[in-house]
Amino acid sequence: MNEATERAVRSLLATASDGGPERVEFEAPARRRRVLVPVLAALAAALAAVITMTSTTGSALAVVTAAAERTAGDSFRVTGSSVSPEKSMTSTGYFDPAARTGRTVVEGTGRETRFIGDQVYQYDGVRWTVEPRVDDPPVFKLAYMDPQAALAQLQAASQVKEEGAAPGDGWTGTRYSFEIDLPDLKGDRHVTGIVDIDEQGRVRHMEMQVGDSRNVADYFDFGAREEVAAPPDAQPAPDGKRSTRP
Amino acid sequence: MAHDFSAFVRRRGAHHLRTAVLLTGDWHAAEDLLQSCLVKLYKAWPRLDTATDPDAYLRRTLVNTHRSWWRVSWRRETPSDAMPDPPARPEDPALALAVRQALEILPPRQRLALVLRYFEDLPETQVAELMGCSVGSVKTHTHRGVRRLREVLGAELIPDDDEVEARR
Repeated sequence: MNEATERAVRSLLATASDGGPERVEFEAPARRRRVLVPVLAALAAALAAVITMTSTTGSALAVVTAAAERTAGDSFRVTGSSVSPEKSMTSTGYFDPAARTGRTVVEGTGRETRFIGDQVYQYDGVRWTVEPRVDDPPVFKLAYMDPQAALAQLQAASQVKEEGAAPGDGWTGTRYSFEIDLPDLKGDRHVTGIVDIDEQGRVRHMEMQVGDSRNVADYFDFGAREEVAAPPDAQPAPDGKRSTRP
Repeated sequence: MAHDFSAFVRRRGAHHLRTAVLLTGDWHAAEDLLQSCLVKLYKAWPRLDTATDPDAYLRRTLVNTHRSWWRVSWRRETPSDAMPDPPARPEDPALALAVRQALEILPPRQRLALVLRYFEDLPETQVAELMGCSVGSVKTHTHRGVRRLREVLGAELIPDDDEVEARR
């Protein structure tokens, strides 16, 4: 590449990254609880919470947490979307928590991810790579599009209120509103949301809103069975043997 | 230790945030990525000896963490709170956005190679080491990445090598 082209690329990259804050401040993380605990632990905690709460009250909170636990205990399909002023994304997926398999496809990108046990297979539109699954979600991220993690987050919900009927496509249920304060490095972030629970006590629809960004997930085809196979030609990700934790 | 770390972040945080936005494509995700990496650096800070360059350490962490996020990108696309200090408008916000969107179209390794080579200004050997590939692969990724950027953004912004040579 000649000098003029290099100079143009450098200039464009500088422009593309222009406009950020002039200085970044960092507040040292205090000892804090994890925002997201591993799925099984989260489910166990949710179950414990459900047992405790349902024994004392039939509150809306108990209904919601029980639905989250029930939904995450069976296989399902899910569509998700994330919309912010800067970016929109839609994905479809299938998860079987018992088999520890899953598959998601991000629409319009050709990207696909397959979860099989402790392995993650990733297709970038050209080739498959594989590496050990990393279960170290960033603490600042909020409502994960991970349907299991999103469900687990409902256990932290507060201000849960019944909002009325929530008829869906082929199901009827009840809508609940909720709020979650998720710990963050800069203090708690306030999430508001709604969750629709069908008459079988399963989460069908969930929305979470933070500022001008919104996540939506729709759960369906409960009990579906889908084979998620490892791609035969997946290559170890470059330097995938290295931990993502330095 | 906390003082040193904070000073480092104040001095170099903005630069690494710019790297992050080139990797992620938007400021919300960039801030999340950087802060996630800063937490990791903060935890490692007491173990870093004087020979360890915190910039290099943080850069490697950004690359690795972004790669792991991208692998499960459908999980990582999340609502993000507004930044406490709204970004200043770049001189040409439309161009800045167009370039970030063009970068997003690139395969991740092409994008990474371009960012490390032409924004971080690292030598090819160091880019290769960070990407876990050969120098030849870095050359290939950057060449293809530039070619794709030119297709998307136009030859007015990124002159074609052959045309430049022909004009000489």
